Amino acid sequence: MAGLSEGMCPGLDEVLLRSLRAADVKTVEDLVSSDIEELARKCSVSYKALFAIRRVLLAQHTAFPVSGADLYEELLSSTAIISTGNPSLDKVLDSGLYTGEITELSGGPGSGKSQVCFGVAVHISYQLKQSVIFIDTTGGLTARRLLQMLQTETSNTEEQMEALQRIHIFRLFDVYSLLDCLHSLRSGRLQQASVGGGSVKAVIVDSVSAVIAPLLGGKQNEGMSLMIQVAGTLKTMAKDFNVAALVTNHVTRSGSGEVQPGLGVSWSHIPRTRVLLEQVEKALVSQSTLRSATLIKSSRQPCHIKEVFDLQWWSRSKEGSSGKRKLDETDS
Amino acid sequence: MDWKHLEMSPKIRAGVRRGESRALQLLRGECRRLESGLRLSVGCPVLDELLRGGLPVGGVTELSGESGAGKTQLALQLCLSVLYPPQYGGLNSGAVYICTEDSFPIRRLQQLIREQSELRSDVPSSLISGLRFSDHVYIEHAADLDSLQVCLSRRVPLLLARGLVQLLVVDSVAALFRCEFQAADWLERTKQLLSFSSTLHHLSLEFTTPVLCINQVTDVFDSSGDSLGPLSSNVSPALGLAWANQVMVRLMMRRLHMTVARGDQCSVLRRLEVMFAPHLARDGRNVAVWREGVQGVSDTQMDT
Repeated sequence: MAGLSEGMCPGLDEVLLRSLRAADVKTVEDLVSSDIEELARKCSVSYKALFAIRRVLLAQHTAFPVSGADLYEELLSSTAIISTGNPSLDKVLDSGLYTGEITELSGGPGSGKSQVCFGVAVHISYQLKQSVIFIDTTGGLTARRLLQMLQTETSNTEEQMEALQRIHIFRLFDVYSLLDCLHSLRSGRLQQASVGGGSVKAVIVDSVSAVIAPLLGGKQNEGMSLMIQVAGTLKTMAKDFNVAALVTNHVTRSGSGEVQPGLGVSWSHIPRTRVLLEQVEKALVSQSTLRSATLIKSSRQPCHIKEVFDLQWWSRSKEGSSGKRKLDETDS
Repeated sequence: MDWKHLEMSPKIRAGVRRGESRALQLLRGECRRLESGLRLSVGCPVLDELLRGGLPVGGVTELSGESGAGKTQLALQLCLSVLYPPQYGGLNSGAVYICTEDSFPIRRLQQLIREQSELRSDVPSSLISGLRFSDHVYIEHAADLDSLQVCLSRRVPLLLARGLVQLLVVDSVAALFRCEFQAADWLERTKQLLSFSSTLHHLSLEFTTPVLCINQVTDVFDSSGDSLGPLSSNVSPALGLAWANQVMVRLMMRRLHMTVARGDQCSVLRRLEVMFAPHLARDGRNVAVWREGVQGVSDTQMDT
């Protein structure tokens, strides 16, 4: 609770503060909940002055109630849906990545998580002409691969280079530098990245489990708290700056042998939408680029809907896709 | 449009100092710190084309296959190709080879050194004869996990820090982890495996060194229920999902039932395939092992 201090509101001067403290009124809560008449008598101050001070403090410190309808309107006007560039994947994600939320892609090695992240980054920077922040913790990002994907979108070198300019890359390999990076993004670097290249629309972390998984388990509990710190920073960043957060995760086997996303139950509450990527079973022929995306957690759609998509979609030239802001029309 | 003329704004320069970079700068190779485009050539143009230049620097590459497939041969060839200067695909430095199974095949290495001019016809022979290959290959035998850990945490960083080596080969990863643990100790095994792989990652990233790990394979019986790993045969790399999650590039080598002949030499044909990699398409090339080393066989040279 905030303590009373000089200058908090007009009329609260040093003399009054001292007499209030002598009457055992030290915090704002004490002042507004005490009996004004009695306090005025004890501190030998006029009733009117104390009442005015109380009113100003109440106005400053109480919570402002907001109606649910207002919140909904605000959400409608500030949330944008960013298409991933691949219509089948968009169907699983309920038309794309939502800003203000964390979306998670999990899958085994070679299932295409990093390729989807590259494709989304290229789509946002080229088609939507917005900036993307890409945090790479595995070392798998090569600019040449991004350029290869861009070359199928356009053959104009200047446009390719401009699109590459809009992708900001951070290479970190431990959780402390990840936290540092996220904090610095929140405290100003995000706005700096927006200047001159379109605002930042997505923050992609590939992969978040590579830095957190080594810390979990074992005798220390530090790993859990670091994981929750990363989650909290990502969420507040997504909400405050209206960006879509896309993270990737590895998979482990559960007790019954089933494949499940890694990082455990505590992490499972953090992303709003979770998608599991797998190889398509009947395509055991090597060099197949088909993958299946299964929705395993969503607040908008029924779970376990499955779509098969082609990883090569982002590397094919196509007409302009709709990346404009859409209002969410479902009411679920 | 010549994109070299795009000017570097002061914001970008400040960003690079802070550790951030744009994809354009990575492409143009302006971020020396990140070195994302550097590759270690394998020594054969066909295989370099498969790997788009060679082994990537800064991540763990795994090579798995059955016994006798030719993994050690490829690893030995890499140990020699790292000594060449960068314009011939090397890194101008030596290699550390950690053996955990058999003793190091020193005679084969000597044979490969003698035949380097046969293998690397693109390099002038004066350069090859000037290089002292055997001086720059450091061999370590690790019989158990503890000595492996000691080697990786004490001796290898010293060599890396002094710039004496720029390649780390572990042959093989599976041997120690498979034999030292019982079936019930899987938790302990996973922990040791994770700490081992994090040491490898740390070394690879701090010293921008390619790391090659050789792995064994295990039989897979129920192929219908496993949609996780790409299966082109009935074996899959050992050590399971815990290890597979740590690996950046996975290559697999297997013997085919064909032979190929060249001159007076005859070799069983193998196939080197890319199982997964963030920058490579899934593809494969036929490979033969000759006296001078491992070389890819283009389709025109094959006789069935």
